[in-house]
Amino acid sequence: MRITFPYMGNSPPVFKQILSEIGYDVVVPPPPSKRTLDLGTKYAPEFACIPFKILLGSYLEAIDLGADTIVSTGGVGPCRAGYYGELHRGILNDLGYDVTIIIIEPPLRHPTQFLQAIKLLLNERKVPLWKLPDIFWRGWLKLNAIDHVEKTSHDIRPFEINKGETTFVFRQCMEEFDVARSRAEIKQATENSLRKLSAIPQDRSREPLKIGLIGEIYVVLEPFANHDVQVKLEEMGVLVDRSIYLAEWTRNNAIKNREYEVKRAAEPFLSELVGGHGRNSIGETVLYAQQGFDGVIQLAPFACIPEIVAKSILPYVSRKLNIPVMTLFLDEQTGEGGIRTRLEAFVDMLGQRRNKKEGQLACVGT
Amino acid sequence: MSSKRIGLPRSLFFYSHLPFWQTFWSELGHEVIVSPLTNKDMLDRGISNSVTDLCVPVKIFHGHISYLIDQQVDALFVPRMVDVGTNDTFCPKFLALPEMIRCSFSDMPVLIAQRVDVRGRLHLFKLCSELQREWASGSGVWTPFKKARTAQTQYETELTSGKLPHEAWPAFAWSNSFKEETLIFTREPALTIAVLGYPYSVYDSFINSDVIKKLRRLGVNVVTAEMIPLEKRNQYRLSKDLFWHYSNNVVKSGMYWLDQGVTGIIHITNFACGPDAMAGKMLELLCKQHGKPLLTLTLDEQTGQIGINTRIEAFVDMLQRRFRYAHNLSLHG
Repeated sequence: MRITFPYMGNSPPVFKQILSEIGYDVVVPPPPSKRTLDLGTKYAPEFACIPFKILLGSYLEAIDLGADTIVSTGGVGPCRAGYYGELHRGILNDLGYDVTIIIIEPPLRHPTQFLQAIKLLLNERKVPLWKLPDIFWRGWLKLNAIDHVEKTSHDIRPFEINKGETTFVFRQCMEEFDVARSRAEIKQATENSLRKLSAIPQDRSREPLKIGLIGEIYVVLEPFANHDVQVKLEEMGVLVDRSIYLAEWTRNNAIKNREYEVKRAAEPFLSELVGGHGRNSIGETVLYAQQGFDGVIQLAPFACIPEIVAKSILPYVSRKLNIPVMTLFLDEQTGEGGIRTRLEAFVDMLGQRRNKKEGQLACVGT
Repeated sequence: MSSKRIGLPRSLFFYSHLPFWQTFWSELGHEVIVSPLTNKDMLDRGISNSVTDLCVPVKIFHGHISYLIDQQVDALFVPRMVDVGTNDTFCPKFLALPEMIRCSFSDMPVLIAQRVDVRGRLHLFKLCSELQREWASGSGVWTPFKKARTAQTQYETELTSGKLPHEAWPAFAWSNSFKEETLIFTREPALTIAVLGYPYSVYDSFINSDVIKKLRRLGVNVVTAEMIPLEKRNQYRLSKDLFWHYSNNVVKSGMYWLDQGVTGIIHITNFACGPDAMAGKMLELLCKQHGKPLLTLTLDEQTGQIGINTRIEAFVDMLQRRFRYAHNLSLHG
């Protein structure tokens, strides 16, 4: 059984480690590229969202590399992501590929399917059961460590003196994490990474603009899908706070439901759960406004239903709380140049707005 | 409590539930204003009052609301559709409809945005008595509720007997020239085409350029999702049900009609419809398995009559030829 998994952001080293330690032959899909997206777009429904297309393309690339099993997650909707696995299966089978897709459904809502998936997954394990907790725990530690290092890099990049240095160092850190497996190694890699990052020459006298990055999880986490918006902004000298990190998100959603604060903030504007990250986008915008951020950028896949709902409410939030919000809808047609221009214009506007203390400028850019 | 003017938009889920709510509100002693069938003016108002990324049915809904606001209604009934007892929910845009409306219009009458989450008969009654307590404390709730239920059941029975909403419920009726339009030219061989899609796209004759009437004129026997009795449709299972009520209806109806041996399927969908990206693909795979042709008509505010005409005529011609020479033609073109 050669297994592969959905590629998202900085998480692949973690899944690779967990699956290979259970005893699988793991095929890590190549990082998403133009080719991945083209493949996905070719076979996916026209109005499927961009994560669906990238994942489909990435599965096809992994199948080319010899994968015959895909492990993915399910969901309960009403966001389409919960149905990805089913439809990916339908499309891949229709194309004539004989692949097994193991869909891990949420344990509380679909207990039988969850157990079946776990049983399937563990059938071909090569380690005794008692070793599993340790394997998962180390995966978890690694995910947290990677997120921690990434967060640190985002705090440093706006202040770096030599443009691009942080990105370069961060890439080295990720290589180190790729081989770190034991607890000691993960700890060591974290320490090394933090040391390297803090050694980057910085100009701390800058007073950067602060922008909150909100939106749908996949396009927020996967730089390929959002044309590396966060790094682009930071290299323009903007401090960017991203609302979603994978470890934190897993802790808050899969293990415990702890997003009360965000929900409470969204309550006056949207009281119903609309699936995906729709309500979070509203709540986080409110929180960013309260924390004195200069602006908010919403990232969403084209035709993403929850984010469209959020988008149609955000102008109202923006007016009420006087915080500029810009929405970027992303799909396979989105060009890098267009994104850059809009980011520059938005940042310019925020800068002028800050200079002009009265803040009477128009504040919704779409 | 004095009589109020309550506005009901003839749009979205009201294609399924209008008889119930229209009867209920008028039995409570209120004047019910139902917006007219969608027209160009409403579409334009909808477009100018909503964000660009919305699908056209929701834009049209904004148009109906704008019309009703102009009619000086005292309250707008825009319930939040969550669950109608089918163990599935609605598109997120339906779930957040009251908020979207509230944020799109600055000067609004009262919005009655009750949460419709009725997983049993009792829930519906509870919902109705809440509305009655708030809006018509003088009258009872039992009679209006019963009458509304009767109207709704009758409507649904008529739909399953093969009628279309405009034939089954007066509020949906087209102009009076309607009767002559239903004249069916008999064409040999007779084709049966299942027109599937959400009720607000299939039955809104303005936005779909009257697909059903056109097909009937071409001598085609048209069947839709609403013509299937609920229990028959529910016999069909997907490996995992979709999350959205109307999408499940579409896919399961597709399975039903394919089993009944329709000649082909026309899927009516809207530009950038999220659930339909999934449901449409499933229909496509189903049709492929059954070897039946599928035509997907994607509608948006730019859709022109002529384009739709051409595509429908071509599709019907193709089906007819296929039907006639089925034994001599390869299934794969």
